[in-house]
Amino acid sequence: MANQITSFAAPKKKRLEDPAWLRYLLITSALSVVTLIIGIPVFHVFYKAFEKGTGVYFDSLFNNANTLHSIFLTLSIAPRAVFLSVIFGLAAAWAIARFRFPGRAILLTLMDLPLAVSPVVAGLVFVLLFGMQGWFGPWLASHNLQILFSTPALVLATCFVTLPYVVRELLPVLEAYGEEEELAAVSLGANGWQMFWRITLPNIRLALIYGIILCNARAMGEFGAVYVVSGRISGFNDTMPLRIEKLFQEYDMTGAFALASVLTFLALITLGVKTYLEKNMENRHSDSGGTK
Amino acid sequence: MTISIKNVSKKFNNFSALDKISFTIPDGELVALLGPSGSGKTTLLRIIAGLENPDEGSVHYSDLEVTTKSAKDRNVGFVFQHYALFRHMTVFDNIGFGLSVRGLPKEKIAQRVGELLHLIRLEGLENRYPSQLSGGQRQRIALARALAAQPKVLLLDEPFGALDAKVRIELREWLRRLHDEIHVTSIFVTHDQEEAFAVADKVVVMRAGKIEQIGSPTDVFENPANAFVMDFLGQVNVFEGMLVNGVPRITGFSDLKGPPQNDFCSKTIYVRPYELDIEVNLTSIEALPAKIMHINPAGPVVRVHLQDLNSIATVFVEINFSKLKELGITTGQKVYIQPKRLRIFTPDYMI
Repeated sequence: MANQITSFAAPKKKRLEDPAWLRYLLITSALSVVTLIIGIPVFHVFYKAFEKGTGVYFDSLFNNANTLHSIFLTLSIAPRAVFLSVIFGLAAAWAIARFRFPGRAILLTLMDLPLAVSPVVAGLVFVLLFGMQGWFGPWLASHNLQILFSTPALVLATCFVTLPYVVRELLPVLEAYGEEEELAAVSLGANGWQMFWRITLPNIRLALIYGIILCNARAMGEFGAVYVVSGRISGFNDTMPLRIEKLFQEYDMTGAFALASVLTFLALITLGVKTYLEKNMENRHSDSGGTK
Repeated sequence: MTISIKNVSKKFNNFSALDKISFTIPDGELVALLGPSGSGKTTLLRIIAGLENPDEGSVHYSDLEVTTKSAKDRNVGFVFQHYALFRHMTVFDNIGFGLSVRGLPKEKIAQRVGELLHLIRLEGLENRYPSQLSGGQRQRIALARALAAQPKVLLLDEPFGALDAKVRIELREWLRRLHDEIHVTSIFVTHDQEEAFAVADKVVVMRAGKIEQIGSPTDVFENPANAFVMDFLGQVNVFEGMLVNGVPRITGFSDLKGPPQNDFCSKTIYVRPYELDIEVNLTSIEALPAKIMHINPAGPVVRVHLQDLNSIATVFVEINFSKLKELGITTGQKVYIQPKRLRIFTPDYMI
């Protein structure tokens, strides 16, 4: 009997494992593709930025008022867009996960629109809405409100493209946790805010942080929508990606790559935070899972 | 506190979960809502708690109508079927939650949590997380959490449903003793009639959104209001028969051989397994010839499976072990079944 078992088990184990040549082929091709189209370009950005020495690098970053301004502008727009996306994302994810209402399916579909539509189109939509020929343009002008070609338009356009990220992160978590703990909190006398801050938020905290990180990365890198609504006035409403493109068009390679290296560096920080949190998330799951 | 339900109805789309339910629970009683799944018992419990709104009717706590009040303002203790403990909080914070949202000072909360941990006999576990506890411990924490703010009503939704058989029996006895100590009006939902009988002062039997019978466990078991209650509360033997001069007779009794003469008076007769006797010799005209198929002598009560030789139907009989010895019957033997009590209900329900 024991012999039979081992003779059964041996070929099974072999079948489960792919042959060595296939494994190495797949690993090598994956690694080389990543190196070729991600690794080398990223390295090249830093190489080009520092090609003429660190002196020139810092000079082109800090002694150029327009470049400096673009860094500050991006760093001020991104948090505002993220803030709005988080408020909206929390409300939308909550509504979709907890309530059944007419239009719920449409809301769910519309939420994904920014992922599907080109950001340039989004930018154009804002121009058509707020431009002088647009619906609200004349009214805004008569009340001395400047939206297009200034910071509010940049925030709005950035918001448009970052909306789905928080919702997409929160929805599955909200649905997985279910509403029983929330109902328990209400039955114990908690009001809406107490329930949200003490029960719901701790349960979705990590998904929310993850959504914010993705949102932030997308906000800092946004080009298309912002390009259309900004008006591209140097030192006034050029964000980092727009500034990089302008420097590049003006053949200021060192300046363009120096600024690109800053943007890349910010992205790498974002990735680092994300990786750190993912590790922590795993640890938390292992000591708090299996409550049911 | 007395709880009254008046004409409560609830529909989910076109499904009628509750249909004009009315009843009153006296102060301090422990009541079981008993019924098969889909009978509306959990919906009723949630309406009493304020976690669900009735379409019609009203809920009253003593003289106060609470129909439109939210669960938060009703001061009820609700124990969920799957406990619904806050998984990111320690046992201490779970139990203290109801007090801390009411803004009680820390020392007061600590004192009350200490009392409750003593009550549920889980002292020393206050810094554990729910995932580090067994099912029975979690259930007791959920109960302590519900009791923390001294609720006027304690509501339990299938409180022992997710536990294994041994822990379930321990916990339900513990709940009974606990109720005798604290005397808070309590309602629990269950589909297990044994559990309802073991714990409750009063049983409310429900089916398809309606109440079939309300009464003490003995009352409901001994005098079921209809065939559904009779069938739901325990095993039952069903015989074809008729009323002869107002007395139920089973087809197959020696005075009623052959098919019933008049279809209009044909009746279904219900007999519990312990209401049947086995005799080796025919001593009465009220007996059915039967063959013993199987004898299951596990425990003091012996379960005998017989085949009714007239209708070929299987009949279950429960007799004492001493009676079995006395009779000396064996499998395959031909005997007579003699009913001690026959029941007839108006035919509104088919088994």
